[in-house]
Amino acid sequence: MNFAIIVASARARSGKTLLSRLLAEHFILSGQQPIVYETDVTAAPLAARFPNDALALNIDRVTDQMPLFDGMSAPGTESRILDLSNGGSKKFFDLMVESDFKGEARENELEPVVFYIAGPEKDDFERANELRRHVGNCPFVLVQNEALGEAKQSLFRSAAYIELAELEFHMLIPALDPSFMELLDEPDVTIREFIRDPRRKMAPETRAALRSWIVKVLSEIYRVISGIEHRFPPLPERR
Amino acid sequence: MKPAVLVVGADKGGVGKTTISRTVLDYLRAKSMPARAFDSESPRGTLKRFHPAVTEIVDITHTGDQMKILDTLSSNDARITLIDIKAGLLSNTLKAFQDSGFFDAVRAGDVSFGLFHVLGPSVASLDEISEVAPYIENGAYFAVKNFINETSFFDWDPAVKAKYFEKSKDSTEISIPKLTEMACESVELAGVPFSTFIANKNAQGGAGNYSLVLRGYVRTWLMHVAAEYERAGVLKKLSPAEAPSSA
Repeated sequence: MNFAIIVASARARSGKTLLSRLLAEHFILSGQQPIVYETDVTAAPLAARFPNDALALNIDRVTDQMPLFDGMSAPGTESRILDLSNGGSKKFFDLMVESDFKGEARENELEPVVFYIAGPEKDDFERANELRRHVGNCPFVLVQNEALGEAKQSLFRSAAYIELAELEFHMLIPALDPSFMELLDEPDVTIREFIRDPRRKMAPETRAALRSWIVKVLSEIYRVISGIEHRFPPLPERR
Repeated sequence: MKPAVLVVGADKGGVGKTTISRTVLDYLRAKSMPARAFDSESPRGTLKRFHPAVTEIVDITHTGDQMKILDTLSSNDARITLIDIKAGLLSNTLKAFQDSGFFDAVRAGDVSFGLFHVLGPSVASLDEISEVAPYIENGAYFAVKNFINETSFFDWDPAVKAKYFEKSKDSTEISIPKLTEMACESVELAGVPFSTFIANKNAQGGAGNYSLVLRGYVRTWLMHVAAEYERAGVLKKLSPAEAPSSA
């Protein structure tokens, strides 16, 4: 099964780009050559990481919307990942519904999946719920990033939290020491290379902590993706 | 079941008259209402390019072609006859229809009549309403503002509007919303009905390979247009006995 994955959040700096990068690395380590899209055309951080397989597109321009949606739903043997900026979120999801993106993707044997990073506030969960209802029948993975802080008690009593707690797919990104996160951000640090051969010039405990974190997150991704593959019935054969 | 005639006309060119005719044909097809169309852009019809199966090109100034339209209203399967009138010929066509006795038949209740009057953006369009007023007394009059290209229209002065609109017993305003230019152009290039473009089919019924995004824009736009036609009661006014109830 191949996927058209959208990584979104109502929060800025919630870890969308990091998660998008890790998802791409998961598929690469699985032997695929995923295509990565991002809508932050100014910084285009993923285009720098995956120069041959990443496209930065402006969601506000029709001329960029077309290759984005057409590309995300086109037939092919590789999964697609979209790092969706905050500013582009509403436009993207409205157009996703208007264009019947899900139907088109499924016709081309791609399962659309939303990975939504929620912060620790009640408002984050309410927005997650609104989005989940808006996109309709589509695997929705609620992602909690420990780096965003601890949830307040009031969150656990909220209707949105209770409803989202029932979701089938959840994922946790554990906290990582900020200094280690800086190392991960270095331009010459490729996660798959680090996994395969972590003999970089860094202190052994740093190397071990970083590797342990990467393995945990990739395991989470693997667990969720496998779960979706098993949970959803086989896609219909192409006519 | 009495036949209905819907004239789509304007006295100015370039207001989107044929585009609107195309949306009406799509709307009638979606409502399973059999329709036929006459394209008076003789000899090369624009409407016929998009709806070839149901459209015939005519010269509306010729008596022979007027007979072809009006003499066959009851004798074919189409319940609604749409006539796309070439720019500048609206008033003359309506006069010719009057002289042929068509409006007597409307008055007698033998035929339903509707006029989609596609207005220009300037207040001079109000004068056009005056010119067609004598012919709309027993028909349904639809004043159509076409915002497809984001035209700015004059604001109706309520007193002036009432003065012009009171000439018809049944007057309604319709606004056609904007459609993004790229989507418009793509449908033009494809040369298929809007609904066919949305279904991603070409004129031969094969795969159209049109952009998913542009199809989405056209789908949403056409839904809004259909909602306007429902709100204005177009089908109910043209074919009251047969109009399906709105779901």
